[in-house]
Amino acid sequence: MQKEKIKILYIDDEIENLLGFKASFRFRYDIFTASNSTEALSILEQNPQISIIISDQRMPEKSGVEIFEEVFIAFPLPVRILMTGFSDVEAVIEAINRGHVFRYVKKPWDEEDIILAIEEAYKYYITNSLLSIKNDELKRAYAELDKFSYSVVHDLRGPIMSIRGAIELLNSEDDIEAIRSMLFLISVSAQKLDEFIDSIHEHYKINRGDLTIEKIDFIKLIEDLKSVYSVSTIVNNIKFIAHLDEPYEFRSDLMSLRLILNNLLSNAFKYQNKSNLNKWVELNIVVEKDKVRITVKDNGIGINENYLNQIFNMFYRATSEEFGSGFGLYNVKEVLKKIDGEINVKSKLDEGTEFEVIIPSKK
Amino acid sequence: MAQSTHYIIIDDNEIDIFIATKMIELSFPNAHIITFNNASDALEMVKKNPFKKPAIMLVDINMPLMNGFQFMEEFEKLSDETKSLFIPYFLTSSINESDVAFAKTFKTIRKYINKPLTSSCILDL
Repeated sequence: MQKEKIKILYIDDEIENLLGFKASFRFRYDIFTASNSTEALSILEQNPQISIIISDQRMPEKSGVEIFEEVFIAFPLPVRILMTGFSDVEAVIEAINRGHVFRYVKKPWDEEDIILAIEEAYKYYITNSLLSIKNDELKRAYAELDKFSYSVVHDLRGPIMSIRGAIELLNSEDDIEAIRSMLFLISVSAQKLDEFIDSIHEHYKINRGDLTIEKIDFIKLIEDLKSVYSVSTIVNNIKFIAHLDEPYEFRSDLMSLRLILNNLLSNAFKYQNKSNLNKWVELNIVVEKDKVRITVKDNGIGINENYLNQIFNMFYRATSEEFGSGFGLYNVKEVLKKIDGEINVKSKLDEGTEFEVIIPSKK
Repeated sequence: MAQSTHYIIIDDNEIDIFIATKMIELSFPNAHIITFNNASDALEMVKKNPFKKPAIMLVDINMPLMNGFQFMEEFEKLSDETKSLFIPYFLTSSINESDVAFAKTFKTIRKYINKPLTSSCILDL
């Protein structure tokens, strides 16, 4: 298997050394060279994959240690190896303490020594960068967990408290009609609870699930969606219009696509203006070369402009009309990240909302 | 405490509004109850001072757009004369310590009540 070459930056003021180093190691490694700190910084800027920096210590403008120190501020991750021809104890101590140097190599170099130092340094780099990636992931997960546990307490406990309240009322009620209406409230609360648990489950499926890339059968998908929303169409008198333009083949993960469409459509059906006599929801699917453009449009209550940039946040709700978990659009955004898609929204209060989703086709 | 017969309920959940209304009516069949499903409408009404008599105000905490805390912040900025006509309580399903602690920072709040609202709870208001 062809492994990607380790990328190394070598800093030395003497051109012969730069050329010599490159000549000796260019087959084994990907070598970049610089003769001063300004050059070094601009190379690091352009090549974030560089994992090891090797520098000569004795240079006229700045010492190797000084360059390491300067570079460390903006690029702390690459591992540093110092090279010097003088057995300068001061320099060694300084290198370790100030320059965050991993290894110290004698000059003129021995090829084996350099290779060994580089291999060791690379192992150290991989462990460290993995650690920092994991650390960031962990921080994010913790922040999410905090938000999550707060909201779970409210969103799970809320409906349970409603049920307990209704039961309390039932105890002092003899009228059968009143009892029926309270039982109805209990069942609505239980349904909320169930919906919330569903969206948590959906959320974890997104984070843990693998993608299965296949050819998407949009005709079948639209048929499925039409049958899902047929009840809402009849009961709430909402017209559901779906257009499909499919001149190309489109490949992606069907489950992700379903999740996105289900969330956008259920919002479009839910946030309707009840007094409007001409309610509609429009779904447009246009397959272009290499991507699909999906729009979900409604003439419902719309979203206040001030809240538009927050609607994709976890647990954010922009309205007190209707029950919402504040989970739906967050889940949509998360799943789009996984399949490299993007989402845009346009909305006007009391006029309606339009979501546009663009997803690239996978091989 | 003298029992007020005027009540204001502020809660985004219609079911909880219904339950609280019924509960109050069970104890006080002649109570005057006004309900709001969002805090900003409630704030507008409070500013207009609809009652001559003091009203008990039950405020939910976790509501979209303007939550109970934001509502109370605005309420506490009103004139003493206006404030004296309302007796606010938090009525919430939240048991988060941070919410309980923050609720205590409002001077005018009488008590933090956990849902569900019970008849003994109403008699204590």
